[in-house]
Amino acid sequence: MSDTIILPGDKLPIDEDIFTVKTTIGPGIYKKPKTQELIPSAAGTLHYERAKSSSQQLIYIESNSKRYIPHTNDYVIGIITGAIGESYKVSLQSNSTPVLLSFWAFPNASKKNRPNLKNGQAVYARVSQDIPEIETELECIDPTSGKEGGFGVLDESGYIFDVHLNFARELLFNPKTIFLETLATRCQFEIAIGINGKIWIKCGNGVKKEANDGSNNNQDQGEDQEMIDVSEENLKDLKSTLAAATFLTRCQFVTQDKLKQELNNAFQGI
Amino acid sequence: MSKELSLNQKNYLIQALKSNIRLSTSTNTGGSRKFNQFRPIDIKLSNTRYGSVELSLGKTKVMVNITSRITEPYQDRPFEGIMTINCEIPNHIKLQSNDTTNNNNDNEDEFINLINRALDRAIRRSNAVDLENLCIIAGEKVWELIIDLQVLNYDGNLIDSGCLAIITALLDFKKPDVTINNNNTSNSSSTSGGGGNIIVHDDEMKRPFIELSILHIPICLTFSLFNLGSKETNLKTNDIDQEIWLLDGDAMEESCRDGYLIMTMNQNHELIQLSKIGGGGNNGGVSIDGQQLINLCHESIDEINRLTNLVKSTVKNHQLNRYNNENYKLLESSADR
Repeated sequence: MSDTIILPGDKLPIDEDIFTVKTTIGPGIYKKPKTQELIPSAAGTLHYERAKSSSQQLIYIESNSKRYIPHTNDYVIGIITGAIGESYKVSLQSNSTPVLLSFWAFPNASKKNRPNLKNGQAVYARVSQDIPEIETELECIDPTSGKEGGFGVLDESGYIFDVHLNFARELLFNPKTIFLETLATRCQFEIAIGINGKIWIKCGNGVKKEANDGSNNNQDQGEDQEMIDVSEENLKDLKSTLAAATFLTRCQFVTQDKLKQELNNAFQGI
Repeated sequence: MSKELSLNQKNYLIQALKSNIRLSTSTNTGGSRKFNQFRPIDIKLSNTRYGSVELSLGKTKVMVNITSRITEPYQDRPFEGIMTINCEIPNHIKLQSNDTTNNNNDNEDEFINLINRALDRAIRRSNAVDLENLCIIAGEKVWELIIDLQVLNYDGNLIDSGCLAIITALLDFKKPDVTINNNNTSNSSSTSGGGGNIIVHDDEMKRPFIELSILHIPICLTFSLFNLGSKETNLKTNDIDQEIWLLDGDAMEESCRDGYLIMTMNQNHELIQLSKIGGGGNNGGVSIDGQQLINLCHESIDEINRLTNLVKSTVKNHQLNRYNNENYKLLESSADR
């Protein structure tokens, strides 16, 4: 059954004989260590799947929250906050415990060839270890190919903003999500979606840091004109990226029939 | 809003400011704010007690409660009442972002002290409230006003929102009426003498409460200062285009600013307080041209007038609503009976 709202402590409407039927529990379900009883520990929508052969069942609760708890194989966006020994200290969310990103968690990394990351830089990584009693670890390696696979340092020309965890899951796991398709009708963009509620987005070429020695080029008319063109392109990409971020933030709070209206509001004047 | 900013967010903020764009995450509708534009202000006054205000400035939310009691005055000021301002910030609210370079908590305590000092200078030490009016019996009994400012949510600009909330609460607050009964007259034969007894009329139905005597309305404006060039060009050249000031910065802008300026003025074009504080620990922050500072004071008069009229109209409308709801009209001498 779907669309059932369940509260902590309720009785789960599943096959009671969990020793005969193979049961897989997901988020929101807690198995009492003493009595081996399954109870819901989160409030939300119950999702229950039963295989046709009737020998397995999957059950989990989908609930909306803002605090992220790391799990293995999650894709996350982290911010480098320091270095401890041979690992970087990465913050997945403010006020949360930092996680570790080893120097060897990059493709082709060695003791001589180590990554050079500064504080404040953003990385797209995969959670490789989530034992609750010790610190969580990240990796920037695709586990199947052993290469980058899209992980690594996120470009500084993109913009990072926060969304709800539910919305991040919808954007990442729903291949036909209407939000990104609606946004694609207005502008081209690159996007990285972290399950920890962070989204990195860049429209066009993004925003490059302008050179501070612009005064040296004032003598040449050709270069001066070229610099003006680059600045105008920069400004257009800046506005597009901010508009896309505003649109995605607003998508969390409006119904789907108002997506076009929100898109026009966000991209007004661009 | 994440308090730990990445280089991406800082880079976008600086580049947007260079293009005269503020990041529009503070407004629900599209479009960015102007550099001298406030976020929408929502003021709620309590219907059940005087002096309770809940003020929202965008996502920043503060709450003010004013209580009064009768106490002894200070020895050196026997004719003045007492007024104290307590600013309380819960532990879960991080005022400044965790600077990735240093992780000490001294920045936070320093900022809380700074808020307390700014509000104290703006309201109490500028004599916004007539403290002599709070005196009941000189040297013996005076009113003490206790102003509690509670921060409910932080998204930047606590000083402006705190000052607005306290001023609104002071305008709304009423204290009970007091009658002084002089014992010397009625018991002339008694040798004990002493001061007078006072009767506090705390039932508002029998005798209406009395408003405070507000001498002027100070309004705080906080300008976040950004130095878009390097530090050397800021000191050596007079390139004013590289210096940007923002009014009513939100949490992200406050995390990235190079300094800020607290300016307190009132509707009478009087400058009450001017504090210029550095952002990254250096004393004073960004160097500003003196003439530019004076122009900033002149340009802010319109905003001061707007905020003062907003506070006055809010309190007036609330009092009118309370008057109608409580049917005070029947108590007037000209009412039909």
